[in-house]
Amino acid sequence: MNQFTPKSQVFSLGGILKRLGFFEPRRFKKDFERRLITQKTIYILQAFGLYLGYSFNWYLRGPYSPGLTRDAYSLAEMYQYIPSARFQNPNEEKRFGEFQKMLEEIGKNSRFLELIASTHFVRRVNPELDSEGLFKQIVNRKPRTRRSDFDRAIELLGKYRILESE
Amino acid sequence: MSGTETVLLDSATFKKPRTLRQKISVAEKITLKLSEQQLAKDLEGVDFFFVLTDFLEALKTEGFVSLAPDPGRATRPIVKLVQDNAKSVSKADFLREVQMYLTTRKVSWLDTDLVIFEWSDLHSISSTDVISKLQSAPISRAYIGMERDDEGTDYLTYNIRD
Repeated sequence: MNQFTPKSQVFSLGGILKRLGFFEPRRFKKDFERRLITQKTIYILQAFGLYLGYSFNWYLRGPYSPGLTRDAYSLAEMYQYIPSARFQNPNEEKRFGEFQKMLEEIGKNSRFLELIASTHFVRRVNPELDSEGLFKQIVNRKPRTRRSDFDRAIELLGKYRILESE
Repeated sequence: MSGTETVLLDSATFKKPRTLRQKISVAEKITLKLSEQQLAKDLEGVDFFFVLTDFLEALKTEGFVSLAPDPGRATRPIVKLVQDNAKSVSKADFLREVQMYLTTRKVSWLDTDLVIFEWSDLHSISSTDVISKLQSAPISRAYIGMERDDEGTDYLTYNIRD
């Protein structure tokens, strides 16, 4: 039996990406950076406690979900027909608003988005690490990481209570 | 989904991720540059292509390979979303609409939050059985793909009231 994703899940993903407004089907297929942004954005969304059902593991550029990649490719074919979606639970809708604010703070900086997602992932895998230990782990994986960027990532993770959401 | 199998979904079966061992196994084989044929045994075709593409892209900038599982994966409840154009209908009205669409033989798939019918299902089971399964399942959301005459697809979404 082939693995498949219910179309309802592809619709959910599409509905959320419509609200976020950055997903462009053609560029997604052609541009690795676009796929990376999609991966890290949905990872952080789930870290906010808004779980869409995607499992992530650590790959070369931080958290990565093959299932999300598959769904996003499927979505690219039908994106124009999919309406935006809202959360049934008002608290989740409010949390989504906070998530959007955080994305605004990050801006269009895909490297920083990757750093935040990666820092969050490494922290979850190693909850015992203090800030210094976490920084060493991140630098091991991403040698070009600047301390100031790492500190900013930690600040945002704290500000938006992301580690508390799980 | 294949054949005439209909899958009933609940929170436990909604998403069945590969095991970590399978994922690590695939990545290790990529790193060891084993044959694509061997890799394909572990990843289904389309996934293999997508993941390998991104993996190779990532290798251009990252030389460090490290794999770790997400410790919280698949343990959290999936959020419930409502599509903004969803038609809000009663279960009885929804079933009447489905019955009507099924008679056209143009329904490509019918996907709800609990029951899924793919094209092969819809063309091998009677519409009475489809309606019966929908009737007995406590569905709250539904998505229907309808073939258009010009070969495109119309997508219908429903929010089903109690």
